[in-house]
Amino acid sequence: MGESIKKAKYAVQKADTLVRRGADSVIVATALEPAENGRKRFRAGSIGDFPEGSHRVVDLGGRQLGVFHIKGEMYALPNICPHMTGPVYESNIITGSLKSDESTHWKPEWIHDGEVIICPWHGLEFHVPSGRCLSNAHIRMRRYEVTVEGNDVVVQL
Amino acid sequence: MSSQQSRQVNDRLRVREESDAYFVVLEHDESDWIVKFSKAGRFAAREWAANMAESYNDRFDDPVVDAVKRNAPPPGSAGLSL
Repeated sequence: MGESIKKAKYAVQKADTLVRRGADSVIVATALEPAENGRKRFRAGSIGDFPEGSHRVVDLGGRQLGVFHIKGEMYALPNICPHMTGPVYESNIITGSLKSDESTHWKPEWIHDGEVIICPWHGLEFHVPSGRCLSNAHIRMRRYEVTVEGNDVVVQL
Repeated sequence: MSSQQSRQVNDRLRVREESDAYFVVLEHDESDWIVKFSKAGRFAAREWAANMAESYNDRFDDPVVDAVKRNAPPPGSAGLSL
């Protein structure tokens, strides 16, 4: 069995299914003073609320974002699928994806390990660091600025 | 911090067109965009953007539709295509 297939199989076993967190798991951010540019700022939580490799859905003043901690970087993207507006980041799983095309000589290649989330409604895959839909690179979610200030995770809308 | 159920976006959505893309934006602040659909080749960017805005607005306007869709996966996705 090829290494890429093994990784994909492991990811599926680990994931089991597209487990949903449920809408009641949304955490509510605290509003902060606006940034100098006038943009709204929120404290999404403490860094301890976002362990490495995890994500949470956070409500920032009436807008839900998925806030991620992946490979040492923080990301925040809108919790709404571009397809049918499903709550994409209620998905409990961050995984990777299989690629097989001319660039891989049609061999399966495991890509974006630990950087992909799958919408629980229809299965569209999104690459969190870029915000792009894997099946169509012309679709891109907005990425919001996230900083760690002391122990706080701060998101700017 | 506390837990509660809330909307994904607390506003209806609309589509804003630019030279290279269609943006799905907040109805009351078109500078505040959510998703970008780039105009490229035969990609139906306008249709995708319009579908997203209409789908969300249907849910936004009708709490029953929203509750049903939020709490249950679509049954077999019949009739829905990418």
